[in-house]
Amino acid sequence: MPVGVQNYTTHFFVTGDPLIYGVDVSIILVSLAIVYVLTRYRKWGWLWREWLTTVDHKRIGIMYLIAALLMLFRGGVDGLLMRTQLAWPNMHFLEAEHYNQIFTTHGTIMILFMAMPFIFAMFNIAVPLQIGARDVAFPYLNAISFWLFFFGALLFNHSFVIGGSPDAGWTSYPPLADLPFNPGPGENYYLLGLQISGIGSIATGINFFVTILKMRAPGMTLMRMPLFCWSVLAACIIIIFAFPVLTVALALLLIDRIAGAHFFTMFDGGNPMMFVNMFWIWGHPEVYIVVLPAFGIFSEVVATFSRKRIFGYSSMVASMLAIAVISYFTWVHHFFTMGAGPGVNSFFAVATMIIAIPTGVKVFNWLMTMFQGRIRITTPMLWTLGFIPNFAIGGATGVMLSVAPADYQYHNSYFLIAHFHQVLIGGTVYGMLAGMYYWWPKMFGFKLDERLGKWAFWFFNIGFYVCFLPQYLVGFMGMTRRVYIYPPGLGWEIPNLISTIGAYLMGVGFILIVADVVYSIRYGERDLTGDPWDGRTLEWSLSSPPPHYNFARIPRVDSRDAWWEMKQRRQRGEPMEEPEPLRPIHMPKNSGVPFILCVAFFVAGFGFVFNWYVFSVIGLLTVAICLFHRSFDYDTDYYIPVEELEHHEAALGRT
Amino acid sequence: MEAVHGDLHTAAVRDVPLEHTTEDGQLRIFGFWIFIVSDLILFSTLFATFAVLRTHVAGGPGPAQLFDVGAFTAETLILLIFTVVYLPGVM
Repeated sequence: MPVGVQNYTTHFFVTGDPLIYGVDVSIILVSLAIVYVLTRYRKWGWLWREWLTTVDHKRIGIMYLIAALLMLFRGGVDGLLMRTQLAWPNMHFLEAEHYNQIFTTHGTIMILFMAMPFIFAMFNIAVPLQIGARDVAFPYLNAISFWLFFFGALLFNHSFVIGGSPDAGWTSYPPLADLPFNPGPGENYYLLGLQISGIGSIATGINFFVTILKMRAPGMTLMRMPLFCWSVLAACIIIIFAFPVLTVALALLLIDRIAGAHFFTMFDGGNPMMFVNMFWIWGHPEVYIVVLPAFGIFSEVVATFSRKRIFGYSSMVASMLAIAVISYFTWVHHFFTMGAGPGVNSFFAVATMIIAIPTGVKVFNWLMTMFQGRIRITTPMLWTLGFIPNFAIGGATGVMLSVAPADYQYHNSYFLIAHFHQVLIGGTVYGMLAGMYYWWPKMFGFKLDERLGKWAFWFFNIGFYVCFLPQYLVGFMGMTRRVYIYPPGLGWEIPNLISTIGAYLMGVGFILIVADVVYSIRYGERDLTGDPWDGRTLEWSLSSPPPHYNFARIPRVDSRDAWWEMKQRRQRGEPMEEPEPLRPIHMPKNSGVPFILCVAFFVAGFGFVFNWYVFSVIGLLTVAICLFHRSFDYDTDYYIPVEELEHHEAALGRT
Repeated sequence: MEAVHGDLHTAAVRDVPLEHTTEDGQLRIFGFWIFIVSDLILFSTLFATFAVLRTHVAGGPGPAQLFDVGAFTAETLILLIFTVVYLPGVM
């Protein structure tokens, strides 16, 4: 091989680590297997027509869900690798460089490519069904959002085999993330991957905001909406206001790196703290973006499985909106040690403590909903019950961290690590898993097996405490985050070892969840009624899975828990209204353009990562062509005729 | 998603602008305003960055040496005023 080519390939492909070679091989094998299966069973056309070009919110939701679970696996493996390295002093399982890359990708993937698509999966699956709509406001844009996320995540995930992963932490602070300290494509992957998926997130925020405000069924006033929809509305408000700030922060850092600007450099007038501020103006609201929908899911689950209306509905709404607003006034608590002075730090400390109040209100409301309810301990309910003590501990340690002078001690220690894992896993991940188990029958027409689900919960929940409680302890002993090795004799050995064991228990929990899915595809209890949990909200009035147009007739709503009321009325034998005659339904057409558009974004992003601007120009031109095409495409929708509707409804056993 | 045939006709009678005549159109206009909100935040962040870093020129030439600040301010204002004057004309 000529030296030039050899040089080139050794820089292009990551080499030297047996772990990476193993990954290379498995990526190739899995890709070949997918291609083989699709070709063998002639599924390429099916894949393109039914999934890649779909604008149906339910299918997009399913794709988000699959992507989120895959990313949970990838991020989880990163976590296990780190815990293995830290299990004992002076371990040489990972080298420093590799460890840095792994904690960076772990954080980035878990927040942006696991939590975000997971909440978007729930948005897509539940919101239109709960408000009695046939789709989201902008179905085509919804498809673009998904594919932007998908190709953003794909670009980011390429980094560890091609070019090297980012290694400046998930926060990517300059000056470490700036060019002099971090040459190579790694940080570019981070910036471009987040930027591309971030555009999709803003679009999703706008999409669901409009959907919820404009497309509710007649009679469903805002105060009759299911609480999950309220939580999505609150999260969308935060997305609309927070994500543009991240967009700017990432864009400026990218300009620093590829065009030699000095926004955040150490010298020549740059100000690294500017990035840190902008990052957290997005970053703190971001944690509420991912946790509010989880609160919404808990509200649905608690009400359903306690067979009671949710306690304190209006205080739930008020507390969510209060959280949405106050979340903008807490960002400095991530860097009290910046030294902004006592006035500034006090303000942000107090704001942080205040935000615990609406959160506390919500916890008491859930407890009061369960009080004297007829509780059924199903898997979704189990995740909800597991969440409450988790969040109580996470909340309490959060208030400890918010005390600015004390934070100088806790800052960046394992105490902090344990705290935010407790709220992000205990809040968001538990919430999303509860939602997944809760809405699974609605999406796929069968329940996930309860027995395996409970095993998974107990492994995960116990593993969680075993993993993170020792980290509070070792944090107090002075262990800081992002150390990849530590000497013996500091008393850190035992807590770290216990923590690693806990991490593996959580891994077992995850495997059991996957096993549950695989088992239930074959043996899971089929849901023939469409209402397997005896639910309260409109999505349970439909068949499982619902037809592509959702509602043959848009329901009329006259109270909260609309479906529950309808069932009660039917039980009391009240006369049912004569159903309206069916009318043709206006539906959006599938389109392959969103997919192509996002492939183009991917190509452009790849060009920027490696400074190969030919790719960027080609990619961005294709993006422009796609947008142009859409602007002059008038063949975007169609009507389902009444005969076809009758046929579908009859097939579902509904009139 | 609920555009009903014949909407256009009745709307014309009621003298509603064309883009408001279908539900699709109304959704898009509302969505567009929300998009403007997010853009507002984006540009505010850029302006904030400018405000913070305005004087950080590291000994190089500042805006006063590079641009004719008076002229471009006047040009911007004139353009904006034209837009404002133009709007009532088309509404």
